[in-house]
Amino acid sequence: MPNKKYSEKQKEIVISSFVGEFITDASDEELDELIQLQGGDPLAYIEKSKRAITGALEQVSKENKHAIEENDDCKTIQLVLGKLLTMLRRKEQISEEELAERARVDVAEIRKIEYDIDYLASPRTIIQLEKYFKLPDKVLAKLSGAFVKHTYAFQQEVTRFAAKMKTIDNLTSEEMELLNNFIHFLSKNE
Amino acid sequence: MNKIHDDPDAEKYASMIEVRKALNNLTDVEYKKLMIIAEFYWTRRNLQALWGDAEDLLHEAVLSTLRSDKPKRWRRGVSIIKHLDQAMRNISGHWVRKGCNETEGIEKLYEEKTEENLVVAQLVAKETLEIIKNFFNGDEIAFQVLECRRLKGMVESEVRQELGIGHTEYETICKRIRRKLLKFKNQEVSNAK
Repeated sequence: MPNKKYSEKQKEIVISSFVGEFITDASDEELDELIQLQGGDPLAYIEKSKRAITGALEQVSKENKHAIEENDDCKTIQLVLGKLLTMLRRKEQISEEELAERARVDVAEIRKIEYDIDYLASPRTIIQLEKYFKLPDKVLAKLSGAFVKHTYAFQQEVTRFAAKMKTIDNLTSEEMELLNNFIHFLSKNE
Repeated sequence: MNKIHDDPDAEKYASMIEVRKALNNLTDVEYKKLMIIAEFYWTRRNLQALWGDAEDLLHEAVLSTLRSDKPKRWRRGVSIIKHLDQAMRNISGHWVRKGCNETEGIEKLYEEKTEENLVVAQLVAKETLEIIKNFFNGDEIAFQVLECRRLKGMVESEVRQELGIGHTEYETICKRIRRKLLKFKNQEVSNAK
C-alpha cells in the first residue's frame, strides 16, 4: 500500500475511535495488568472513577433541587394570582361571567386563572383586569409570570399572603384590609 | 397550558432515572474501564496542560449525560460505558480545540457534524484502513480483527468465523491490541494539527 502521509491528528482520531470498544472487552484480570503496566494502582482507578461519577450525580442533584424550589415558588405566585382575582371579584360581588363581560375577557380564562395554578394568563387579560379593577400599574402582571425574577422579599410577602387567604363568599373587613395591603405592596414593589 | 410535555424521545433515549440507576449500579470493573479510557484521552490529547486530571474528563462526561438542558442523551441499546467513552472523546476533542476545559458551546459537539465526525467522514474507508494498518505495523491478524469489528461491524463469533480463529487466539489478539493502544497513549504527543 502506498505510504501516504497522514497528519497526527487524523491518526489520533482514527485510532481513538476504537479505544473504548477494546478496553470495554477486557477482563478484570487484564484490566489490572494494563493498569499496573502503566504504573497505576487498580484500587486507585476505582476510587477516582467513583469520585468523578458520584461528584457529578451530587452536582446535578443540587442543581435540580434548586430548580424544584424555584418551580415551587412560581406555583405559589400563580396560586396567589388566582386567589387575589377571586377576592377582587368577591369584593365587587360579581360572578365570573359578569367579570368577563365587564372586563371584556374570556370567562374560561377567568376560571383558569382562579383555579389552575399551571395556567399562564395572557398579557391582554391581565391588563384588562387591572383596568377594570382600577389597580395600580402591573399589580397583577407581577403575579402572572410576566416577571421571571422576583426578589426574596417579594417571594416572602406573597407566601405570607397565601397563608392568610381564605375562600369565602363575602370578604370580611379583616380580609378587605389584607387585600388592600397586599395590593399596596404589589404596587410599590419593583 | 404550562403542562410538562411527554418526552418525545423516550423511545430512543434513556430517562434520567434510568441514567442514574445505571451510574449507581456500575461495578468495580466498569469503574476501571472508564478511568482507563479517560486517561487515554487525557494523555493522548495532551490535556494535562490544563488544570485537573482525567477524573475531570469523566466527571464532565457524566454531567453532560445528566443535564437535561445540555442533552448528550444516552441512546437505548448502547452500553453506558460505550456512551461515556463517546462523550469523553467528544469533550476532550472540544477542550483541545478550545485550549481550556470549559464546556461553553459543548452542545454543538452533539450535532451530527462535529469536527471529529467530519475528519472521519472525510477520510474515505480506504484511508482509514491504511492508518489502522500502519498502526499495527505488520501485525496482520490484529489488523484484520479490527477491520472486522470496527469497519464491518462484526461481533466476536462472526470475526472468529471470518478469520478462522478460535476463542483463545481471538482473546490473545485483542489483548495485543489493547496493549498497543495504551502504548500509543504514552507515545510522545506531537503538536501537529
